[in-house]
Amino acid sequence: MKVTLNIWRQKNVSSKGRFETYEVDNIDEHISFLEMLDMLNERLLKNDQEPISFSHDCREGICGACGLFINGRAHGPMRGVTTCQLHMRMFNDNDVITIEPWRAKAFPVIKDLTVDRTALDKIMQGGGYVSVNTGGVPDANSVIIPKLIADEAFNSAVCIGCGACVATCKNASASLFTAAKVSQLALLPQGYPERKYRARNMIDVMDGLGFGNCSNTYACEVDCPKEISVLNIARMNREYLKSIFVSLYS
Amino acid sequence: MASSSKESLKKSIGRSVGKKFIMAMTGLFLLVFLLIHLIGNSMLIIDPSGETFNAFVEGMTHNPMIRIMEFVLLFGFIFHIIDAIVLKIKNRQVRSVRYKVYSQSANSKFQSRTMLFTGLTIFSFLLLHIYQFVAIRRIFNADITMFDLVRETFKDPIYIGIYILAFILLSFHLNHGFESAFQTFGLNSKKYTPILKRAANIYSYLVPAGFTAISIFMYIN
Repeated sequence: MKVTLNIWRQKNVSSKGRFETYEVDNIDEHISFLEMLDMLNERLLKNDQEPISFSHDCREGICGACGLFINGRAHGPMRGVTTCQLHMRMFNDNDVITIEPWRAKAFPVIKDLTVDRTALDKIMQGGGYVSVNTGGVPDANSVIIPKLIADEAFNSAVCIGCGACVATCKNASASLFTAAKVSQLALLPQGYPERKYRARNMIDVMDGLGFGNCSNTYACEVDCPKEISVLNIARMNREYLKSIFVSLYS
Repeated sequence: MASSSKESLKKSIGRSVGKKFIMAMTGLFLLVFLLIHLIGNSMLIIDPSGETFNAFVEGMTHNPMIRIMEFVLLFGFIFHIIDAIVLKIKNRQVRSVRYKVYSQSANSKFQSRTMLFTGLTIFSFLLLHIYQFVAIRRIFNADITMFDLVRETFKDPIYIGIYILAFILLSFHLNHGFESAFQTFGLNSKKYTPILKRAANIYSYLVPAGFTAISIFMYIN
């Protein structure tokens, strides 16, 4: 199959970007979207042209490194997959595909389609950690967690931090990411020591980094490759309410 | 251990989630007001002579509790609108370069993305509405009963058109706002949210439909 690509090219953080059009032919429909971009890059390199920069790592949909805004959707049109798990069979022959980087002030473009997602790490540093005792290794299963709770915490912990929620949100809000991280720790006993202030501290960092406000459109839930539920955002809001009551009245 | 720097109410409300709480709280308050307003309007149909309606209006005007609630309502509107604008200003600054292709209709509802537009349109209708039904009697001291004023106003098909349009937009606004408020308060669960969504749908269709039906009833009679 053959596709026409409109790809965002940008030299570095400070330069102004523009769209460039490329045609890629002889694509096997069973190759992944990133492999199709590899084909294009090989051709560009052969012709002594600058290859297109994009982030990727495991190519198994579990690391969170890849992330492209494809035809107006984070990770493309398919639900529950990362860009690397999107295959060319999802497209038609002669399709025109527009590829853009995650667009958010908090995610500056480093080059072409590669963005700097350090902002998400900073939110984690704000409160996405737990205190542990030094000393010997604790016995396995010494802390009993009911399966239902463990499953619920796991559903939040599947977040790979790709930033699709921010990219797809009309307000570039990092609420789903932050909420998933708040949730996974709020549900487990290991997260209790910092629980009182966690939501508040992480939200402080999130607001300070220039992410927008959540307006409950729930686009993040739809475009999240791990299908993390917006119930997490409700949980974060509850945690926040508890946290401010504790702080104001103690 | 996480920092436990001194918290103040100003700080708590100032964060993104705090501003959303104000939005949700004032929004829910306005939802209750709207329902009470509809109950009042329904007297136009229950007693077409207008006596019950006029008696109700008189009772409301002379009830000190209602007079106090009027101020609460005014502040409810002011906070709801100002908060919305403050949130929107921040949300407008989050992207320096906009997407060339942005398929928002594929992952979110139209009404959830147009809250400021529907809200501001409803607000302009509200100004007209206050002028026609409150200012004329209270500020310009027109000597006319509320029922006669309603009857006169609803004789104009253009006004009926504006009225219905405003309620269609209000329906969109309520549809998202009702459900969204509970999410903001953290009252969202697998068990109760489907019921809440149905309640939001019923409320957002039935209440505007009720107002519209009464206006058409007044026009026909």
